[in-house]
Amino acid sequence: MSHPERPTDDPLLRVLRDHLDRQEQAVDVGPLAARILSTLPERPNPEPAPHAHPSSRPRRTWPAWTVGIGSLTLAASVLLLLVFAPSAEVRAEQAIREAEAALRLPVERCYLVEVRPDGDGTAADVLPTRTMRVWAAEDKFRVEMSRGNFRWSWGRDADGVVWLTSSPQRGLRIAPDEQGPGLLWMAELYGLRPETLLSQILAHCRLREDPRPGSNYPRVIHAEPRATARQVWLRSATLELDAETKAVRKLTLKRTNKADGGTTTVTFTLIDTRPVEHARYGLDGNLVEPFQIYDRDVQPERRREILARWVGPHLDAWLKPTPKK
Amino acid sequence: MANPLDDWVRATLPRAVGYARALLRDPAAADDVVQDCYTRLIERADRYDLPRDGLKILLRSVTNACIDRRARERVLLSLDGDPDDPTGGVVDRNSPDPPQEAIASELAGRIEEALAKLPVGQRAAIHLTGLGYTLPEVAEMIGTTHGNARVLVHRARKTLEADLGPFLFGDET
Repeated sequence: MSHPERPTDDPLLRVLRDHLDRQEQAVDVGPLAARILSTLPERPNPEPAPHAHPSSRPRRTWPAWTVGIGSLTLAASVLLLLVFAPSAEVRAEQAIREAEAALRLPVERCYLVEVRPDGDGTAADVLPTRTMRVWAAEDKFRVEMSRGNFRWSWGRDADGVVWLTSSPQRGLRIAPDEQGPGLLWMAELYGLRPETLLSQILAHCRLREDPRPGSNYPRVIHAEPRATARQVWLRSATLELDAETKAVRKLTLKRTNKADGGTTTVTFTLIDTRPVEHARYGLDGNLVEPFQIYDRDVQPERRREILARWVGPHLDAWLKPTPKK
Repeated sequence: MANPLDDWVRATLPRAVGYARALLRDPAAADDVVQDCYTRLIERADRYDLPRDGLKILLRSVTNACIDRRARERVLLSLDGDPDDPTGGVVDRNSPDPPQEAIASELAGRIEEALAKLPVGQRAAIHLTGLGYTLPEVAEMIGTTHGNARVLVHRARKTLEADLGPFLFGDET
């Protein structure tokens, strides 16, 4: 890439410029370019042209009796459609099943997740409105948190261990039987995978689909629990499905908080899909060597100290107190 | 069908990555910052003529993101630090971590060491100056006044000249 101004007689700037040029050339930006370009929207396919092609062929005229037979056939077809065509709810259900199938592909997906407590309650205190990235693959997830432009991560690995990076070279592990109720609640909230949710929506909800202006537009389906549903934590869900790939592009949930009965709106927006990097779902894969990991066997008190500085007064909600021997 | 911004992303990415890595000294973090900046810019692509003005806007965005990140890191490390260990037990994040190609020569190593000593604002200012931007452009990209940009560049120059002088002026002993 060219420099905005060249050349320079300044020896320092010349040396620096040559150095920066060499660095730019040495950087392999291929993987990053792929990540960025994968988020670019593709140009939408143009709507098919209306069927208004002028025909050069002469119009045929049909005898009157054929019009009568045609009308009868049309009426019969309409009747059959009315009787046997799937209802709007069934069509919506089919769309969600197609979305489920799309989500079974062996890839990891990145969702931009916004968690917004709706009213007064514990959640509003513990969890202010926040936007984060959640990567999910199978039963594992990792959350990329951000404040301003700084990010750190935590997640749950395949064994149910919750981990947290407290700095690039330092991390904590919390085994399943050490996880306090607050941590379990947050893991459940952030780790809520659309894949799992779709089957619950199909089992417990009434579905309604918005009319679409055209076939290239996404399908928008609203779900509300049936009166008989036992899935009481879900108040409502809205799914936006890609018209072409059938995948879930956006999922908005209004849910009841188990802890305080308030409601929280959680919005998942799909922003990236790529082959699974399994290492990124464990603590080691999110640290930079040389690193230090604290867990129940390695300096457990130090782990509590670090975590206390991190979560403040909610420490016991994250990490159960160590039983006295 | 490919997005028309593909070419612009491919053309500007090496510069943006090189710049972010120079400011953060952490390739993975720099890549994340750059990706975020591109994502935000592309979301607002309808407001800008990115192929024409995008690089400057991008570098300004990367500057802000890197400076914010460095500031946040200091808070995090102080929260997480060991009272007996002033570095917080963390390996010196200012230590040079340039691509292997760049440290092939001693001069490159010296430049990296010298740049690493600079505060991030000075590093941004001298880096952009090195890329050929004028002082007003540097000021705009790092979000400061013309006068302050001049001070940042001047201080950075003094540090670099002290460290690189023997190489620049040929009296290495």
